[in-house]
Amino acid sequence: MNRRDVLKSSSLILGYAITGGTAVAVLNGCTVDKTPDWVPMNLSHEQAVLAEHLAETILPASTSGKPGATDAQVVRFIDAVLDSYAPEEKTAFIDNLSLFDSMAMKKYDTGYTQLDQDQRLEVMEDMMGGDPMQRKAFRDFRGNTIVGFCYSEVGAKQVLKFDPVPGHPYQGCIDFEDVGTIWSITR
Amino acid sequence: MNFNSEGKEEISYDAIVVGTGISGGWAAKELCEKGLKTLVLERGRDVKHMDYPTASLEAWDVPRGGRISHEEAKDYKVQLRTGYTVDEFTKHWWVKDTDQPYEEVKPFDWIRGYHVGGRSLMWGRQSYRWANIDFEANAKEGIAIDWPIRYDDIAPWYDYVESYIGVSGRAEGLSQLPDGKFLPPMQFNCVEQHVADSIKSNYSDRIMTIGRTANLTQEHKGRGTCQNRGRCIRGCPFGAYFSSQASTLPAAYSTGNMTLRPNSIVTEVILDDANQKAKGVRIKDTETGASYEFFSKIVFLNASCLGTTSILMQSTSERFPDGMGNDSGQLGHNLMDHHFQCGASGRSDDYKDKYFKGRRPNGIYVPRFRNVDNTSKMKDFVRGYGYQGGGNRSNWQSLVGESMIGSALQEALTTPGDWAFGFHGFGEILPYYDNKVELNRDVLDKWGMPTLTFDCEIKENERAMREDMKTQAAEMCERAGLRDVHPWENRYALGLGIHEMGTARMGHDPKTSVLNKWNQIHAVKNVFVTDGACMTSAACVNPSLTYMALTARAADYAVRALNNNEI
Repeated sequence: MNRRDVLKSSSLILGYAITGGTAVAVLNGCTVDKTPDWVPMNLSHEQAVLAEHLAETILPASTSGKPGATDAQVVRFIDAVLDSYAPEEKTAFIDNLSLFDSMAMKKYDTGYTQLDQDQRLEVMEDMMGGDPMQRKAFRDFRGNTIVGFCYSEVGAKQVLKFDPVPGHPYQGCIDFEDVGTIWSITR
Repeated sequence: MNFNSEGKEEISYDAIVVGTGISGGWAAKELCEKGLKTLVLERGRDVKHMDYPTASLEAWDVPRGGRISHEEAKDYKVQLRTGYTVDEFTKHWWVKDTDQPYEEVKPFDWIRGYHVGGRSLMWGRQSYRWANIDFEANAKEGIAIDWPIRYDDIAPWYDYVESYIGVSGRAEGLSQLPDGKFLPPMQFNCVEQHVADSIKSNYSDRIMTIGRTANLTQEHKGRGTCQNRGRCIRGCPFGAYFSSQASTLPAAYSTGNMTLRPNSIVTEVILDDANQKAKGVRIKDTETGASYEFFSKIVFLNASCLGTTSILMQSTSERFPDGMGNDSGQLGHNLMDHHFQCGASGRSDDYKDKYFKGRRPNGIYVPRFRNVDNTSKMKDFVRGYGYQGGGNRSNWQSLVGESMIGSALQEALTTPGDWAFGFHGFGEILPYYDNKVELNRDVLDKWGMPTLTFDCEIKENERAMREDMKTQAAEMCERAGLRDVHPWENRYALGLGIHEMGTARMGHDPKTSVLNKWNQIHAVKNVFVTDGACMTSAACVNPSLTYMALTARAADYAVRALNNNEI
């Protein structure tokens, strides 16, 4: 993750000065937007920072300028959607975030947010192929990242195609290239 | 459409209609248009056309992308059994089960919405005519009792209601699924056309057609054309599907004869001992808790199958100790629904360069092909089923369960997956006396009213039919060359089809039925029941169109009888 990306992520995620231990290191040299416009409801600061970085690894902004998970504020969705979970599932999801950090420690002797992009992908691969709890942590987090991205205005309008009023008539067999991407609205 | 409370509240009307859903809205329209001063009572709150607060909200406009919170879900435990009814976009249309408890000796999924318009706001809109095989089946097979009407009795009323509400569909010339007065049909998509063609070449006993749906494919009676937003359940700003709000209640209102009173739970129909007729109804105002009586010459009960049944059960008197009109002992029995939650699906390797535009609020329909004539007789079961379903092209949702990440995932998000296709069977449930609902005076709801206890289940005939529903669906998928064909079956309990019916059935004989051929209570001639409670059997098609037609027919009869001093 380059400096620009770190800056972008950090300002979008917390919006105010970060004092947490793991976050500070990666933010050295970055100017943080201090606008206190979002406070997580279920995650701690550190968990939210970690979650944002995990989401960006799963769904990164593209070099061609397409937005990624951070641009879409996916972490806000992830934090909020936990309220639709049963309490024990919510706790498990949050606790499982630390498994990503543990994997990073085991492999690289440092926290996840301090890894470079290739190392982050390595950690993700290892989680994907890890023990059942690690696999579940990966699967659940990844799932929420995708849903959060596609349900965001950024994802729905800039990556997918947003068409709230398709009009008459329904057309059941048109050329895909006339649309070029997937419709965003599923309901 | 507010209750007109200027000055003194009128207490006497020509007619009272209880309920504002699909059949209540029709009763209101017909009676008002025929000149009757009509009080229309609704137990829930008022909802006006266009009063659809979530109609244009997107996933990012609501919390959690629309998922209901775990805490709030506790209020909707039954309503959530459908899997699709309660979310942030729709929760205001469904009852809180915590306010409206009921008991289940055996499971019954009672999915309800209490507000003006009732479930006409959230219904599935599929609109099919019954056929003679449906009306004749009970008599021919010696099951339950004979219907007191035949297709010819109701056909003109199907014409009448279809012409008014607007039903899009294609005429197919089938005796088991009569054609109607259709607006232009909606299109199949690529994979649906492929499957339809395959059925045509592989089978001589069945066809696949586009769903017949109460969505407008052209402007109709002042209502707009369907814009394929696929968000009907939230309420349509274009009025492009039939609901009481968009269609019948405005018609009733414009006559000047309708008084609509929301927040009014009917607690009983009052019997006039002197002449064995109803003289009116008693209500409880849910806002004040006060009780009122309103009087009328006729009463139409359209409170939904179970709502109406409950009101009749609560309407006890010396003459009717077991509930109004219950001389036969059939009130609350013969509860039916449509059994579903089984079918088959598969994927197509074709049409990779094709896509679609619009979220068509409609699917396909395979009309019943079992037990429709001598050559289609089944050994294992009587009656039959139809298939709904359809095809679609997979989107990002199919990626959620996979493991791809990074730029590959970013790329995959913008690439559609396979075309998938599925058949979903909807079958007839026979009228079993054992399948019943009883009044429970020990458990009261939020307003102190008795609740219901359900005891019902599907039996051997339905279970055998389900096997065939799965097998035939899978076979049609296979023959169409789909891959990964997957026959499936999920939990089904009565009620989940949201087609509850039969608990105050029509019949020739007062000894075995509650209502006569005009939907009149045999023993209380000025009370009419034209919601799902009146059904003598269930057929396998969606029932709402039939409720509408029966309501219009009964209203026509009621006004004639009233004018002739017969009731």
